Amino acid sequence: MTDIVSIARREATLSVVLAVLYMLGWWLSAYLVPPGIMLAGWPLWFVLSCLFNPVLFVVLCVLMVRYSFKTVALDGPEQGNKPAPEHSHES
Amino acid sequence: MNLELLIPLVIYLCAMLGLGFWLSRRPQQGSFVQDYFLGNRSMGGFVLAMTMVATYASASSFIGGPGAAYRMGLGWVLLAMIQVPTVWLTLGVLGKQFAHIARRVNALTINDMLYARYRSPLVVILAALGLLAAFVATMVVQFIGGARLLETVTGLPYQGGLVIFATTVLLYTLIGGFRAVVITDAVQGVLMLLGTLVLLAGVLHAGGGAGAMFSALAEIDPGLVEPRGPDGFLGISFMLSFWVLVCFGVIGLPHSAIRCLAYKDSGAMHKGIIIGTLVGALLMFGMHFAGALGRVLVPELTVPDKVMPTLMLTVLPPIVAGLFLAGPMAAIMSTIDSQLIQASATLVKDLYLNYLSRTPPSPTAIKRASRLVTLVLGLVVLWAALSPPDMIIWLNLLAFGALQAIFFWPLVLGLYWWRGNASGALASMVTGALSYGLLIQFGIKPLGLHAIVPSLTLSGLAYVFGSLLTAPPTADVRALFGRS
Repeated sequence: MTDIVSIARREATLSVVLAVLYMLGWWLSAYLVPPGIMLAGWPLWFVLSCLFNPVLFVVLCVLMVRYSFKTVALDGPEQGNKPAPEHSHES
Repeated sequence: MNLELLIPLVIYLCAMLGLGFWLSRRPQQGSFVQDYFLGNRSMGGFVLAMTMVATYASASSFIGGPGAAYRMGLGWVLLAMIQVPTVWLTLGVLGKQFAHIARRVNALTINDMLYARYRSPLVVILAALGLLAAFVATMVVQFIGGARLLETVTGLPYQGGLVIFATTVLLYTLIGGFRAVVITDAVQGVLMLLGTLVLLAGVLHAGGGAGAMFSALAEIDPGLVEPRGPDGFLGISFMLSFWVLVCFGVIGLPHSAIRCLAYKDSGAMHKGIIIGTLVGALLMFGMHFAGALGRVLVPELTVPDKVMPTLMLTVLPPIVAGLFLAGPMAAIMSTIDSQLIQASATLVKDLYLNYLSRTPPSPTAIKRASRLVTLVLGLVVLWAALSPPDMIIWLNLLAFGALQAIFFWPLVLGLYWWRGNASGALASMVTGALSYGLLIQFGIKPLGLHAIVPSLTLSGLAYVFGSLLTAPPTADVRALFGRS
């Protein structure tokens, strides 16, 4: 497997895992917190699921991209950094 | 007619037009086709983020979404927050693999990618037809939404608004191509964000703070401040369906995926993920939260879809309201323009250049043909929007989910499962389109789930079995996808 493929695979898996974790946080905070509890006039479930959880995951997303995503040359090793020549894809 | 509102809107439309003209004067890089349909793969991180968000946020998220939040309360805000992962998912999953292979096979469209992967003209033709039908349907509905918005707010007659609106979008797309589409998207994304934040601040101020507004909502109906909504309408399977439809399934939307072909380098993609996720989350929260709280300020709306324009007129001074009405307009325009350019690319690049032309046409002929196709498509859509046929509304409901049902597995598994082949892709596309169409048509909801969930499951199975039962892809396809 070439290098960029394994990098892309790893990053795709990370993205899906982060999305599933987000879903988990969303679900727990929305449905496990009893709807009646208030926090400074705001319903607690709403604060947790619609404010805290998204903010947390935006931060996690930044961390994921900063520390796990690799800078790669997209043109691939074969062609260097020049734009691909005009050839038909049947070749 | 309301001039105070109309003038900022007209100025805004003119500014978009001017931007399109200005961008078209820049010297062309690479071949015309690559420049017109893909902006020569030169998108930076900020523009990538904004164009992802702006393309995704359409009339439904600025008009229908807040309207639903108005009826359903905070539960619908919760539902809207399902969309937070879309940008990192789309760019993260398709991102590098897609961009890398696209450059190796010099792919300009989604169909080029499908051809490089499956080597089957039938897959390309099927995908092209599905994409065209779905895009024309959604564009018509976006046009109708834009013109209705102008009609509601400024008092301009429907046809007049439609023509002004359509002319602007068509002209700047025609002149500037993909580059104009993404740059105007970026400007419109910023405007949407500002409009949403100002509106939310205005709503909170007018209602005397969030705490007071929550109590007022609970007085109207306690369901409005509960996650399950009034009468428990927002049940578990309803929410679960939306997780598929507006979060995970979005990876399969061709107009999001095409943006993975067009960015400059991996740095742009990283920046795009961060900015796009942040802006998307702010937009989704702001718009829907404002819509839900709007119930307190304007409790007696008969048409909930009018909540955004009505709120703007209620809480903002007219001249500011006019400026920020451009927000929903921007959302609508930025969806139409990207679908218009991609539909043209499909016709010219995928069908005409690949299959219909026997000898390669001259560059000038391609140039003329590309612009002509964009123009004709735009006019067809405009004509359909002038007297909207009923079937179009039905088609639009179908379009979003149908695109996912058709493209999701051939794109995702095509990138990450080397064993997938043309028979699998064909089986998946046909199964997805058919099962989605039939389930919607007959209103069948297994376990209370939206049609998208069973049809994605079925099309996924079709892909796997179709591939396993037939011969594996040829060696050069496997090499392309990293397996020798």
